[in-house]
Amino acid sequence: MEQKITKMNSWFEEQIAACGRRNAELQADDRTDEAVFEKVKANIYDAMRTWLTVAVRIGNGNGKAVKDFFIARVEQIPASWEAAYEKAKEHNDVTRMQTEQVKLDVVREVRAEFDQIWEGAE
Amino acid sequence: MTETEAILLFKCLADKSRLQILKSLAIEDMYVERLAERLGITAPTVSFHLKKLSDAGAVTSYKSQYYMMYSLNKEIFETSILEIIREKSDEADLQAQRDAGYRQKVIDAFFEYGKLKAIPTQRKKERIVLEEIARAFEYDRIYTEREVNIIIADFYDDFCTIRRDMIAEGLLGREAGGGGYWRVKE
Repeated sequence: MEQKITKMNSWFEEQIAACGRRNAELQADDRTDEAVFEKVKANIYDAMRTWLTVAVRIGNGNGKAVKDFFIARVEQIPASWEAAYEKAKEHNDVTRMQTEQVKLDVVREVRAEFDQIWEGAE
Repeated sequence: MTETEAILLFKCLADKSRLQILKSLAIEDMYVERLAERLGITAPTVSFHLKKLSDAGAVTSYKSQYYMMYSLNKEIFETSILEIIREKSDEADLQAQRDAGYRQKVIDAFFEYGKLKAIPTQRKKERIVLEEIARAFEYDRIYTEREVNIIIADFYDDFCTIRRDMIAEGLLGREAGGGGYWRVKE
């Protein structure tokens, strides 16, 4: 389990660093709004990393408990973002839709990576 | 063009992706996916930028068969920067703009998609919120209490409090003895 957690944390760090790089590039290229979206993505990766840390603490060495806790958070918390996206779509609020979409895309990506690392290493 | 409109436009133009979109639209009208393909950015990102450009008055849209087409609002770009600079902005106009800005800020904070999220505790803010709701009422028309409640309920579930506060603020008038209601003229 240690190996999986280390792998997952390294992946989070890579993604956050990549977002930081893209943010700087976009800022330098005068694409400030798109740069902000990279910051939003980095914040979500960071939040997910925190949830994983909490899951590890709560799981207390039990791999299944860690996985269950983390997956529950990954599925539960973005529900409000999904609802916000749908509401924004209903009102054609493109700006809000884009922000929520960025957050939801990160969650999907994290979930896929977690599944791959967690199941793949077993 | 007012100063506020000019600032909004200049802020909007200070972004490379949006300038690229405008450059493309200067060639011909385009739809979101075509712009996305041309500029190498995602369609949702293009939609996001188009909304900002549209809010600033830089682009307009129209429906063509299955597509929403976007075109450059040439009129706005024919205005010279010198004309914008020469535009007068006296203090009264500025004050009115500041008031309108504050008002809009309160409305944006307390309403979401036309629904009131909560009644403001500050009287000044509540007044703005109530004035906004009062706009749903026509002048020179007598409403029954039920009609008043239905109109207010579209904004907020606790219509009794809102109705009472609108009367207290002098935005709605009420006949003595529980008769009809009307919108008070400003």
